[in-house]
Amino acid sequence: MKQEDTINYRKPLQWGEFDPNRRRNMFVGMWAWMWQRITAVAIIVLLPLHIVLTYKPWLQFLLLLAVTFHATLGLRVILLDFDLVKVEYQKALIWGLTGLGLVVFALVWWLIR
Amino acid sequence: MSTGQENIRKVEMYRYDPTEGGDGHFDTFDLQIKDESNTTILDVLIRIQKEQDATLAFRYACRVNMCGSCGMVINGREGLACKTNVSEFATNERITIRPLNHFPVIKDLVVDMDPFFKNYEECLPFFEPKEIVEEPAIIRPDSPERQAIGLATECIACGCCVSSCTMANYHEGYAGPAPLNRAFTLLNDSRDGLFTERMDRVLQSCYNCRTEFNCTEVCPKEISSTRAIKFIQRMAMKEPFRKIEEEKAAAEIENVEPATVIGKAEPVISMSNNGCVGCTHNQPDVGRRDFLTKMTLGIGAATALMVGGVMASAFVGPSMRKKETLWVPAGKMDDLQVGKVTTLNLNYTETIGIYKQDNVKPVMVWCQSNDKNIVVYDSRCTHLGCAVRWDKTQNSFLCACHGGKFALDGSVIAGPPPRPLDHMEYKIDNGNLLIAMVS
Amino acid sequence: MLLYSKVNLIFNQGEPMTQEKFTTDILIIGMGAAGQLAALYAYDANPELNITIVTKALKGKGGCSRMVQGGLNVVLNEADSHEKHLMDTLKGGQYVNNQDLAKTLVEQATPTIKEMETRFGCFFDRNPDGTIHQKPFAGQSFDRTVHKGDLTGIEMISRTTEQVMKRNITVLEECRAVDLLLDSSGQEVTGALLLDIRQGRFIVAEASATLVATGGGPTQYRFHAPGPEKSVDGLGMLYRAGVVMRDMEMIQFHPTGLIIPGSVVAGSLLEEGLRGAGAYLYNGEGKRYMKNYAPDVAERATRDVVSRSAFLEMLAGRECEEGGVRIDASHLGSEFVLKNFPGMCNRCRQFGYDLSREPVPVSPTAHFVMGGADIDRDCHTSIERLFVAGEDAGGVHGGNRLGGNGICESTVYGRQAGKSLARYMEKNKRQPAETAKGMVEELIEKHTRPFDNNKGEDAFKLRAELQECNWIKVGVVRNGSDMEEAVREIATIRGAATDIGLTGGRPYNMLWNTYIDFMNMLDVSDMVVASALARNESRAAHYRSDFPEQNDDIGLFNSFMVRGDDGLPEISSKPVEFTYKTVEECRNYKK
Repeated sequence: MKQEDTINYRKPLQWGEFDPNRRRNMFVGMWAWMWQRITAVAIIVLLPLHIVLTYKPWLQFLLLLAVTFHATLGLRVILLDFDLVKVEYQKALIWGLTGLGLVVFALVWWLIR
Repeated sequence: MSTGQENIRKVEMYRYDPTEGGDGHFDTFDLQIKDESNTTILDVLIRIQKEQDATLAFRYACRVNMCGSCGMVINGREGLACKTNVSEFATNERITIRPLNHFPVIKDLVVDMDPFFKNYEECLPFFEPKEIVEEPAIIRPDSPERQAIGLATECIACGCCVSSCTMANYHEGYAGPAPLNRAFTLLNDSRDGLFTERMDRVLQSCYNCRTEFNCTEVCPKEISSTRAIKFIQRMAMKEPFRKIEEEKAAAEIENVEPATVIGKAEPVISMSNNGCVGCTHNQPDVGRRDFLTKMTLGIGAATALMVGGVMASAFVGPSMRKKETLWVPAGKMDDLQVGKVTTLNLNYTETIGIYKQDNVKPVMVWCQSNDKNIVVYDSRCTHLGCAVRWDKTQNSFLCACHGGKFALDGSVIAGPPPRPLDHMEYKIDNGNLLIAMVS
Repeated sequence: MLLYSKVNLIFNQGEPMTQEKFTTDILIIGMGAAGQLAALYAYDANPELNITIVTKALKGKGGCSRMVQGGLNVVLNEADSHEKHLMDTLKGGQYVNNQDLAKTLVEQATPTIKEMETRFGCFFDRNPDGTIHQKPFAGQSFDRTVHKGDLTGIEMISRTTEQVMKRNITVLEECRAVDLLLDSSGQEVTGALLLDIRQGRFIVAEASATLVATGGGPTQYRFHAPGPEKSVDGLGMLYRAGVVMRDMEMIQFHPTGLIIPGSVVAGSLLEEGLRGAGAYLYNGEGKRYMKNYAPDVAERATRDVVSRSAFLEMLAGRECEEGGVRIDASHLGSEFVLKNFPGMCNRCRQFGYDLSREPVPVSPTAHFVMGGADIDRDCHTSIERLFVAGEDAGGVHGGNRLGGNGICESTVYGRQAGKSLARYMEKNKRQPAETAKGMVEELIEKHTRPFDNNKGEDAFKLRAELQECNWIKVGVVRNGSDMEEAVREIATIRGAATDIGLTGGRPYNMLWNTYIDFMNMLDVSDMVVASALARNESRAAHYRSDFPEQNDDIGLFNSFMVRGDDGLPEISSKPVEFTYKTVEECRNYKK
């Protein structure tokens, strides 16, 4: 026998729906994922802009910054994908790699400037 | 024994009445709690039901984190009501309780777990013995397979991971964390006989994970489904090769001893006398998978070739080419003004292989005296190769990109350039200035 | 597949209600280890059979099998023997076991556990050499408890639930049986009346054979180890259906239930393996009191002895400040405890106790019903077409169950029942008997009565009263006059129960379920107190302060009871059958 539904079930609640506390309670791993997507879009916008508007320092700064975030977070996923770093350290990877990326970014910026 | 102080908590509870339908709403209850560190959210629910509203519906069974019935969203995070203590939230914080995401709500906090189990079954979560044996297998606890599986078999199917996953609901055919975790434990179990079938089921599913770790964060049993999914992804990478090897092995058997093939058991799913439901339908689309594999390999190879080619031509190419000096006429010597810098445009045609390209290159000529004593500066900045121009008012060469500044004699005055401006070779033929372009 | 029809019934003041009805070959009530294994073995014996499991909870999530911590006793080692396991079981039960059942238990445990591994995919903890690890438990002459960490039930029930999913077995979730249906003679079971909790409607399930495997769970006591949704449903149903029940005075109290004031988690267990591994028990004065009660084995005595000792210490005023005694495993080394009992350590940590480093307050807690339906080794009962397996059945454990024999009983007898059901279906027609006219309507009327009641008696309050009464008067230590009082008190509560009123709609009405639970508890309380009054001695889990000695001259009997016409139990007693071992052999057996 099938358990038929004679009463109305409410359609599934969605992630964040009716959930006043959800967004401020998001996990850092999720921020990392979202930030990588956001920087991806930023790169798509900034790169053509950079070709059109050559030698604009602010543009170069933004582009390099976006690339830094995107690359470090991407590197994190690769490290996790191939089990080069244990998944327990995923949060440490976010802070560590992003921090390292920003340091390199600062050095590069200071060099070319 | 830990101490907690007495406190009145505001508890916001999601309510949905199936007889009324609608979207549901939040009800607020005030509850006096004696010892918060000893009071679980389940206690809160039971007390509200006993003392304030008997129609409140929630689901629980074992109350000691073993059955996975009381999964719900508490202050924005999934968890078991029986495993979350009130003291985990700041004393002035409201407690907001809401049913799990991605499951139909039956009443109040009670959800219908059928979608979960549908996905669960889709991954063939059940053990199927490779062969019927009488004695339990001898497997050392430190063997690689048991080390890999670890405590991942402790999953209690509470659905918290699926609720926390932002991908579970947006990808048709994404089984979700817990089902993939179960598939992972079985894929690594050397006793199990459904490796191929299960791999086929999870192959496409496992790549929908976005490595957000939400499931890992909320799991009340501290199992990392992300780890399991990554594990499957790595196993999946070996899949095409395994297939090829299996085919090879099969072909060899066929070639060497055709007689054995007849007696060989079909490597089909149901091996024991148990009629295995859920295995017979939904055979994977082998053609499509093959195609996808080949496509991926093809595109990968093409990309690698292209990137490799470009890199090779960029780095190695120039040094292999024969250096040819092209003398480009730049104009009459008489046109140059003594003591001034003149910018000239060189028009020349460059030959790259069979491709001819017309180029214009600006150079700057400093005529020191009438006595044919000139210096030809390359207009490329020695920093990053931007164009340098002569600025009369500052009496220096300026680079627009990063503020490089050179003196009239080519030396660096300011900015990042590491060395003075490059000089270019020239000769004077019949009063005509010829400048050497080295291509 | 299944016949499926809608019948319009007129009841409840002429208000029509649609009511579902289906027919199946085998109806299994309860989805713990016994129910699931019965379904699996019956299905594997004949995949043609229509098997339907109904469960009060979600599939595989209810019941005590999932809550099993320690593990199951089974003879796997050559140095061990079925003989020894049987003698341990009889000694633990103080000789009043049904020896045939006990013998089946120990002998069939070995193949059952092996099949759990080889056929259903369980993976129990291993020795370093790769063979199955067996740990020590109290009351055993050999370390024979197979386990998976210290939360064995999760592994077992998760695996068997998956096996049920694999097979074509229908599972009705959150669909509880409220009563068994009988034919007009009252001698054949025709199925069960189900309450679909989600929809709040009744379903008539007609079956050629019915297996009751709901498990017990004596939650009619203040402190109880099983989750509150376990509520002796099966025992109540069987009793009301007129099945012969036995040994109902034997209620096991587990000695180490965690004390957490004000929380529903109170009474949940710290597993026996702790005592097996050598943890000590201290009273409020900080003394290891177990030496006074069991000089030889101290903390590794059987559960009845340890519980009673703790209770007597508490009665004597030597309780710790939380109101119990303390278990201390810190001398075993915190690393050892954390490694071997991670589940227990986590449970304690949630409530601020550090099991690995400090003593934790515990109290005896109602844990298991040794009594139950009188069955034979093929799980037949006194009524046709009705089978019982697991905790609902009585006789296997006698007066006290050994730690690790409980899940062992569920699996072994689940397997026995499955095979027996398949055999039964082969011999008999696949056609349910006809339910007595008017029975369904009468039952539905009975179970929906509180909806029309506006006297507003509170089911939660009455349940708490019953729990308190049982705990104090029919608990770990009993006496005649207290129990006489308890009989009257239970009758008063039953009277008040007719005034219980229910509010809210029928779909997923938890209060309604609490009411049904409570009515089952009342029936079982009746049985327990009546049976306890009939045993004028102390034996195993049954301890009477007015007859503190075990008296084998008068005590070697079993109480059997059926529900009388007045709704109260009618008791008869039979001497214990010493089929395989004589009473001397049992008495002289030394571990």
